Amino acid sequence: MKINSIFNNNFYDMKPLPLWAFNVHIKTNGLLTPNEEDILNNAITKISVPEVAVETVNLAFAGYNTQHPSKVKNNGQSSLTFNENEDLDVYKTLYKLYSNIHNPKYGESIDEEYTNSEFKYFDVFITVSLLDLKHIQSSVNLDIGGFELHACYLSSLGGLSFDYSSSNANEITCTLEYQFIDHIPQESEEDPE
Amino acid sequence: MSNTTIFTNAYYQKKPQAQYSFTVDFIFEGKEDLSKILSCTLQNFKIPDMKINTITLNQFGFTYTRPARAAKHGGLSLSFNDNSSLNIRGALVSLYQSSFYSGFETSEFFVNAPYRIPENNFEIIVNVYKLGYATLDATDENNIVGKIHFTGCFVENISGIDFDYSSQDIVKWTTSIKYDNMYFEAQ
Repeated sequence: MKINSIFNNNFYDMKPLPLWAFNVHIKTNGLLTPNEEDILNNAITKISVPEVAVETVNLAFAGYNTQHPSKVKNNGQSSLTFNENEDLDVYKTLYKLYSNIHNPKYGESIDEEYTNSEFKYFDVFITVSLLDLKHIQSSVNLDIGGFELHACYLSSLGGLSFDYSSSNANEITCTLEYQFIDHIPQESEEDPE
Repeated sequence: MSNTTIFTNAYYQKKPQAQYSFTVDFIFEGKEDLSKILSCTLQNFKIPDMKINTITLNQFGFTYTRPARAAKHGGLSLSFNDNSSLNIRGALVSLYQSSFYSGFETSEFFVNAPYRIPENNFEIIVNVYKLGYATLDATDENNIVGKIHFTGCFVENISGIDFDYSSQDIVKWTTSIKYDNMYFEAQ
């Protein structure tokens, strides 16, 4: 067994991974235009990657108590936060996505339907990318792996805050329900040059 | 797949949406004077979340959530500064009383018991402006980038207040308003 003391540990020769070194790529299977998807991709400021977990069962046998993995937690929620611009582009786009699940104008008149269109899931790809400081200007990233959330929909669309005494910009936080999470393996290293 | 790192992100070439760039319209039929008073003195407005409840389904060891019933109704908490004539308090009370049958003043209590009058509900519209345009000309519809509607509103309560000789604060009222529905209208 190889022993690595803290004085003989080459792990820390690598830079740490900062929390801001990530990209988000939202794919909506045609619910949004590519331009609208880019609006969300570019305006996102925070995203929570959910935990992965497995439930366990207890088995008792001949004086022993053992635990075994049983059902995998496949679904869950993620929280996304976006910065809003002066044209309300983000709110308009998220509202379009939310309206796919439920028509907010339902109830205003007898002509309004509960949903605007056939319910569709969309996929959200969260890719964690290491930013190579040498290639920032040429926007070359070295992907080191990431996460994919599949079969998603918005279960809540965050509200806006308005206040005449505030000098802050508006943020929107929404909740995403996903049915499956995948982990993108690390790709083989390639020299960007 | 486009790479959009924080260093190559053109989104932020647009101005941000400032929290103070808004106006609020209260729409009461036949009570335009009240609407104007309340619109002028409102200090802040928190737009609630739009939510849809989910149900959980289990199948073959997997767990799924599906969208179920939308949570359409909700509440607003609005804060108003009053003036030396107590106009705001009067407007809020007038609005509050118009939403209910008030049988307390008559002997027909059991006939006209306090109850909501749907036809007296009002509407609230939050107008969102481009940065800076709210102060240039808030009446120009072309400067509005979006409207958020609250329909079927009524006043649930109006806060009280503690008067105090040692206080330097001004009189403010906080009112809780319930709405039946909320939707967004892009401009």
